[in-house]
Amino acid sequence: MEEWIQVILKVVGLFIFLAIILPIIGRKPISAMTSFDFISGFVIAVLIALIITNVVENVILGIVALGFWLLAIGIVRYLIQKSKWVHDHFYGTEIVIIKEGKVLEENLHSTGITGEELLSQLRRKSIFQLADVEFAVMEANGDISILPKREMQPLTPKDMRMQVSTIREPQTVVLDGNILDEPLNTIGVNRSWLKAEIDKAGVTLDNIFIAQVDSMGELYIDLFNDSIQLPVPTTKELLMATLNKIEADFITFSLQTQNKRWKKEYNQMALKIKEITDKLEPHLKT
Amino acid sequence: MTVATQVKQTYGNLKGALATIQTYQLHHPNPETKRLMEECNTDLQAIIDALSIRIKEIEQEEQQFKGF
Repeated sequence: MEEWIQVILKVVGLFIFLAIILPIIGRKPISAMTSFDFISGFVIAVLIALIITNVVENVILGIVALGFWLLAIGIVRYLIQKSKWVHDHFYGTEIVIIKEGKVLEENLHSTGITGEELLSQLRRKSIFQLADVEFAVMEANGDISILPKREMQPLTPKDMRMQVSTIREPQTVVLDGNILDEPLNTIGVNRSWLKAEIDKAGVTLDNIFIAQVDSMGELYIDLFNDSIQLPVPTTKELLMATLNKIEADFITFSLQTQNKRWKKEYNQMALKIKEITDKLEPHLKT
Repeated sequence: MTVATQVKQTYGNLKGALATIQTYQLHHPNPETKRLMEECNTDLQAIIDALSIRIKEIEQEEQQFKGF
């Protein structure tokens, strides 16, 4: 066999082999790879290159080496999932760098990064002052994770003791003017509901680029034609306003009426409406 | 505006609010919230029923405002 045919056969064969093996190796992004992943992958690449370019003269030997290397990686991957010790050995453990706001210099040196680099990493996480950090660890792949001091953490509804409504992810029901049936089924409505809602907004289906339904069943529409102003859904605000108005009405009635019994009844109704408004408020305001 | 029309208007608003909450109740993903809205609906319905009694009374007292 001529040499160039051999090379082509090897390239095609190993290329197909690589295409099959790569998805099995996993879907970790390159940035999340540890040095073990990186080096083991590198060895595979070099082995393949050597076999193709005939540096390894005996092809069988090269393929055996490649096969056993992959087998070894497979075994290690299996053991890593089974045993914490093996995992720590290959992937390393996380190293605490900052604790209670103080840098642990010894640990920092053992990770091999300098103070400059630590500050630069912190800055990339929008922390410019060391005093704002309560706790920081270096993950096995070299990333630094930071827990800011309690008072520097973002404000959440829980901090405010606010009650909020649970939400479900919004569903995209129209894309590029086409109705998507599967998301519609997920929220439990059908095409005729959607068509009625689109009619209510006063637009045509083929003018819609994206339409999404939120967990309260309200439709948000983005049009191809951006010069058309669409009304923002205000049903929730309207409902709040209506309920408040009803409460005010009942108070007025109770003041106006001469009837003793109904004076009391109206007052009670006003209280009841107030109660309902309070109950619904977290779900209507958020 | 006479008292009768005012009361009737409030009655209408109440029914509207009830309908809106009912739609939300149908759409909402969280069963707990659904139950809360259901309770609100029951309360609202009770108020609507009571108010319709009052409307009848007013109409009987003042026949000229009849027509509901």
